[in-house]
Amino acid sequence: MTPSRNPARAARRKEEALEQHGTEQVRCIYCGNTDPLVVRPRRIQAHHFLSRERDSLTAPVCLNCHAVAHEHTRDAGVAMTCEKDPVTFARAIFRLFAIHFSLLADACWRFAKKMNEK
Amino acid sequence: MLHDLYLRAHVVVLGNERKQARKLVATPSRRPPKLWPRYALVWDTETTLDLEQRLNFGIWRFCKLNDLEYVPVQEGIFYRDGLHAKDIQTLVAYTRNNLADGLVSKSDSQLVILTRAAFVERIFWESVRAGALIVGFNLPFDISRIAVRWAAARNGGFSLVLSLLRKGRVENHHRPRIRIAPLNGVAEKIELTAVRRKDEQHRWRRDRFLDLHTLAFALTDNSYSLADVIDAFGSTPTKMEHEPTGKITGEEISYARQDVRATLGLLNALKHEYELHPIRLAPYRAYSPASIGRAYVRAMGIAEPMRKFRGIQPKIHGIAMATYYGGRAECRIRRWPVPVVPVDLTSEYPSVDALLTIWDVLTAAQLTIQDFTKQARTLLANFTLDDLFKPSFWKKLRFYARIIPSGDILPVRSVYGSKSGTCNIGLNALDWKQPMWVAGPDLIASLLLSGRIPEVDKAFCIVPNGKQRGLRPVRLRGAILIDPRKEDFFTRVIEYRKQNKSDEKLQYFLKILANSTSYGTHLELNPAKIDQTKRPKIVVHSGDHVHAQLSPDTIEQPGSFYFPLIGSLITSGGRLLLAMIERCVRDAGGTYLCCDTDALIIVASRHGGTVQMPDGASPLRALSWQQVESITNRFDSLSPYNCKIVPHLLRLTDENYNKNGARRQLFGLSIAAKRYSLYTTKCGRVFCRHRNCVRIVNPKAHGLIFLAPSDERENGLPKWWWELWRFLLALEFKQLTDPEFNVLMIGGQAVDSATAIRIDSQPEWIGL
Repeated sequence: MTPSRNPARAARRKEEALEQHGTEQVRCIYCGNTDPLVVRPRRIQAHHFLSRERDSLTAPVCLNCHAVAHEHTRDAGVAMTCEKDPVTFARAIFRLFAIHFSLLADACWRFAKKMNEK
Repeated sequence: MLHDLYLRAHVVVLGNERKQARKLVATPSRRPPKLWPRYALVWDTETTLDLEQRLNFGIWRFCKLNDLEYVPVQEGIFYRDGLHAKDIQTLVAYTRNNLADGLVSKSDSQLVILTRAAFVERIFWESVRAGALIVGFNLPFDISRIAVRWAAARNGGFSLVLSLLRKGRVENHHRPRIRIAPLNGVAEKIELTAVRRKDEQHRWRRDRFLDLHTLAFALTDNSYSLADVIDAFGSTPTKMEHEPTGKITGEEISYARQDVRATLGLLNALKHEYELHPIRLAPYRAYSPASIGRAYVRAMGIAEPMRKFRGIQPKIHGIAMATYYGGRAECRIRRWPVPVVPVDLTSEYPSVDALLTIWDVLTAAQLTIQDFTKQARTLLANFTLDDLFKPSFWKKLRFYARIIPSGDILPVRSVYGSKSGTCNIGLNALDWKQPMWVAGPDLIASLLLSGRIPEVDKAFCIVPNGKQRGLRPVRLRGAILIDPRKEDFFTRVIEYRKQNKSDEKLQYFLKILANSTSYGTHLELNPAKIDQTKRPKIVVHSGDHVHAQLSPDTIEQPGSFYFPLIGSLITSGGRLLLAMIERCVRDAGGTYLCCDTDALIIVASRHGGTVQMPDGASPLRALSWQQVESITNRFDSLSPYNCKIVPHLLRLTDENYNKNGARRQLFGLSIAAKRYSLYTTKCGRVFCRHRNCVRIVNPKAHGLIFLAPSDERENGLPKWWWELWRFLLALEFKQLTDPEFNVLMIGGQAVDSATAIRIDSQPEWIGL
């Protein structure tokens, strides 16, 4: 690992990451990327996987995976707004959980495959 | 004579009730901030030597915290924008021929070189945003050197602009300004101002500017130079012996680099010293020993009194503030030298604190205000001097009384003399038709000095109930365990100070710690300028008087431990102790030259006798040394300290002894309050006309700082005090024979023996 050319800037990024995500090395939970160029504080995002209107639960994801997750949400026909009818609400929640876990499952398969390759 | 009297007041700002109420409910922070951040930027600047002192170049070291110490990871040089090409070449050549040294392994050892603007953007602001400590020695000066513009800050001090946009050279409003406001003679508050865009403000929350000059002052109560503080703390490396030339040369750059290395060494040494104190105060918020003292009180779990005792009405605080006066200082025998023996009280305010059991009040769960009118009348009617030498009697003096003064000797604040126009405090026989509130100890002092029993109209006392929850013991500087539930913190601090007499810087720090925390913090009021367009309404409470008005330009904002009910009693108790000494001297048939807060300079000689006075005035009686000692011994019964550690509460000062520890005869000449000199003579005569016979032991010249020609010090006191008093004594004794000896620089003008003759008519400021 080569030393940073500007340790002050590296320190600032680390501190910002620590403040926002509680850890110095942020990782996208869907693709596992830790490259500082990809997951530096301003490029990693807090994904509200049940949508901001429904719950405050978030997961740190990179820009690409965030876009993919929302694409899946739109495909599943889930609105971003909160439903008033409890049955519709519950259906949306289950769908959003399904999307979230399927993305996680895909990630797990990929990680397992990579480990086999090694 | 008729005089206007001036009283202090307790002020409540209206419209702040909600804010204050929110403040009153303690909200513990979720994650306590780190006292020592993970990173530090240590830097220094070199300037031209002309009046402008423009930036030439600067050196920085970016450091990270490695276990216990900050270690450098990058070193670099920055230079003034628009510096001459030849000078830039010198700097670039230096960076090519020299490597950064002392860096941690795996660091790039190349010396980085940047322009000022690039340094500010890439290193300075990045470090600020990383929450790094921005460290320097006399940091305000260095920050001002890299600033490109300045303006007067709205609420005092200066605000400095560091960043400009390239296009149009306008201020970059995405970067904050740095506001520097003086707090006291030594420390400055350095903080970031808010940036214009609200969504960017969260990036600039962490302003951690650490001026090592201020931190060293907070730890020692001494204003050091860099070389002196390195010497005092024994840090390495030391400063290089070099006189700055104001030019850019290899030697100058090496000198500047060594300065930054020395500053980093000092940072680590001060960090080590600071960590001995078990306090949760960030080092960049330690502005004085009082800050550290307050942090100790917090570390013991003592709640802020205004928050804890919020049931006490503002009117009561108004009464306490109206009775508040500082220490008593006066000149009794003016412009006539007399033989003297100075005595002083050991740590007067902490001692009073212990005698009045103020610690019980501070650590109480509740405080109640009880009527004390009858008890006060009885106490004053039956009182004798002997009662005051019983510590149990002092516990009864925690009261305030309303009287109609009629010849009572009380402290008053008034304009004395028609020319000055400034307020002074004096102890006068007072007649006033209106009722007036007075602190209990001041009433007793009046009775001691005037012999007249004051007529009490109304009185109340403060009664502490129970012990506050959550009190916990602390280790004073990591050494002595103090339990606030069982013992008085300030008494233990004074004992610890006496046990460490050989460590000068430690004992001075402990003295200030005890004094400022036992008394100063309870009357801490910080002036704050008010926005003219948003002047709030205020309610002023002083004695029985209450009125509402629009706030003036400046409001005194109370400190966190502000609580005048305690503070006023402590200074009042101090004046009572002084009145007791005066009364004892008077009872023995003697008098005194002058007094100052905790010290009385008694007219006394080895065997006593008469002292002739000028202009046909009746002679004075000098007490003998033995009589003075019997007075000091009498005060031992009041001492709250362990007698093995602190033998006497009232003691003969160190000036009474020569280098070998033998007693010597001192003489004193006083020209005004707090302006006196103690001296010895080889011939043994008080009025000495011999050349080189007079030796000044302790000169005092307070309030004449505007005459100070330099910051030089001699034996721990300003050098010009010694020079002034050598001159004044020579004048007084008519030793006007040596022209060199009789020349004094005053306000940039030479006053020689010829012009000084006119001093009899003026100058007034010396008080001659």
